[in-house]
Amino acid sequence: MSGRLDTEYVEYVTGRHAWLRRVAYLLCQDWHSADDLVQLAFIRLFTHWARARRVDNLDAYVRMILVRVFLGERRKFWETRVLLAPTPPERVSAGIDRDAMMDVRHALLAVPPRQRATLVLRYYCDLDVEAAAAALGCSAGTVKSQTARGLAAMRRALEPSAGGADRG
Amino acid sequence: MSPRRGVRTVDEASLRRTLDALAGTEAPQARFDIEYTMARGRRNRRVRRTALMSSALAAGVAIALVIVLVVVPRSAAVQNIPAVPGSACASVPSSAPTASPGRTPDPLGTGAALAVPPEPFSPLTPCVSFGWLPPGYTTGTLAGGDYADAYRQYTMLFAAGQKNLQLYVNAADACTQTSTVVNCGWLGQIGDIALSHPAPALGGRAAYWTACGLLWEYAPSSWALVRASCSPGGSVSASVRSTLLRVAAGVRFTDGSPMVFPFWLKGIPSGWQVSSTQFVPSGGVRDAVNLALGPASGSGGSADITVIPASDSTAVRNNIDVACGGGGAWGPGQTVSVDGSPATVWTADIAGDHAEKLCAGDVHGYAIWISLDGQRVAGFSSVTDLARALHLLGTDPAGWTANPLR
Repeated sequence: MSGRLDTEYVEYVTGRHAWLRRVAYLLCQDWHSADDLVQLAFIRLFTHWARARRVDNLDAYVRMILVRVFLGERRKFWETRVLLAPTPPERVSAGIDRDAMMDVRHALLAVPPRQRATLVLRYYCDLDVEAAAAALGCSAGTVKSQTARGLAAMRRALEPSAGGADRG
Repeated sequence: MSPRRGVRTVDEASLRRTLDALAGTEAPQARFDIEYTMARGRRNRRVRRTALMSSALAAGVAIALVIVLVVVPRSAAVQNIPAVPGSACASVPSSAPTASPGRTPDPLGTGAALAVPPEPFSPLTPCVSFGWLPPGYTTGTLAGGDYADAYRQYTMLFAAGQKNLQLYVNAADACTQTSTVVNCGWLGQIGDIALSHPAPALGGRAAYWTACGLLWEYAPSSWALVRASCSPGGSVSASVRSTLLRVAAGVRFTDGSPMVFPFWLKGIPSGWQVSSTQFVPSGGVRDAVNLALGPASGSGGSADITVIPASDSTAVRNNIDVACGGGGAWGPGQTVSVDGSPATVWTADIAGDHAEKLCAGDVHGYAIWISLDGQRVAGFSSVTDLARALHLLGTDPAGWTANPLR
């Protein structure tokens, strides 16, 4: 029984790791931290696997775990644990507007974590308000207000007048 | 943050596009270990079960007391209630081994070679070593403790510089095997490992390829695995396999030269133990040491202590500097004094869970980083008190200690 459950878990994680890692990256804007977030989320998933494997939408369940790990345990692990091993530099694909990517990353980092998570769920994961509310553990009204505030925060971060000197 | 050029509009459609593009940015190799994930998940399950059993036992004791005091006549015999089984984490000592201080970590194995690893396993005493590593491999990190409560295994981790490839060696005894599989509980992966792809024998012992590693029987019923970092479901190239062969041929077990620490810490409560250690013995960083502590039960808080020479300016220092900061759940930093040197403390409270962290740039030549999570360490009212209980021993390894907890 245990062996079969483990096999199912490995198959699921193997297939969904890359997807969840990208969501995690959008949340924390750092691949290194994204790996830690994903690891924590999958540990929590394994802890509850016998029950979790029976949920209707396992992806949504795992995404909810990830978001809550991001919001609730940021300080606990991936922001507090010092890794002595050096971190390899991130790479940017050829053809990508590096400046644009950096701008978006900086703008996202300027958005408070809960608003950032709301934006990622709404506009990257394409969740409607109710689904995002379920993932975040809040009301639909809160999702709407967090979305509006998050968009406003990104606009402020991307407007040169708000950020000071612009190299234009 | 100011944009680098021009004004970028943010509406819902543009945000979808930019998030898609951002998520599509070429990612570095994933630092993900599914076996580690499962091992930690199993540990969580055990902790939860123990907690549930403890609750059930407490309820049982209460009910039994009521029965004894109210229902059962005083002349009735009261049977002993069996104790809850203790944590399986019995192989990790609560204090350092009694070793002569002044010995430096032995990452490349200059200690006496042994046919099998000594018992018990301790994260304070590395006993598996690499005899050879590829050129360009810079720093070594020993990690231990995460699996020590369930499986007898050892991990020595080395990070490659340029190749973004990490190498691990693990060993386990008491494995069971058939003609087709071996099962050591956890050995780089959980459960059965297929013996379907024979590799060149190592030291006259049978060896087999796994998806990302090389497995061999170093003693009867005892198997070791050298593996490379590998994506889930992935495999390694022929050149990496060639490297694994040579690395595996150099792996040996030693008598366990104890790690030495440039500090000792007093006042750690009974029941707490070292859960993991990291050190960087050579390469770009000298003598960076990390020590993690926690209750033997695996729950109820943790402390994480890192010291590094204050003059260091490498990646380790960068990691510490990144970790030292407020924002998010952390409140504003407060300046405190640690042994006459300034330090900054941040605190956070989420859902009743308390955490504190402290950063000091230079205390007697060392930068210090301490985090305290969950339940506070008994005897320490704050992370500041914990920092003040840290006795630094200077920069000369001759004065360091193998007994960091007192």
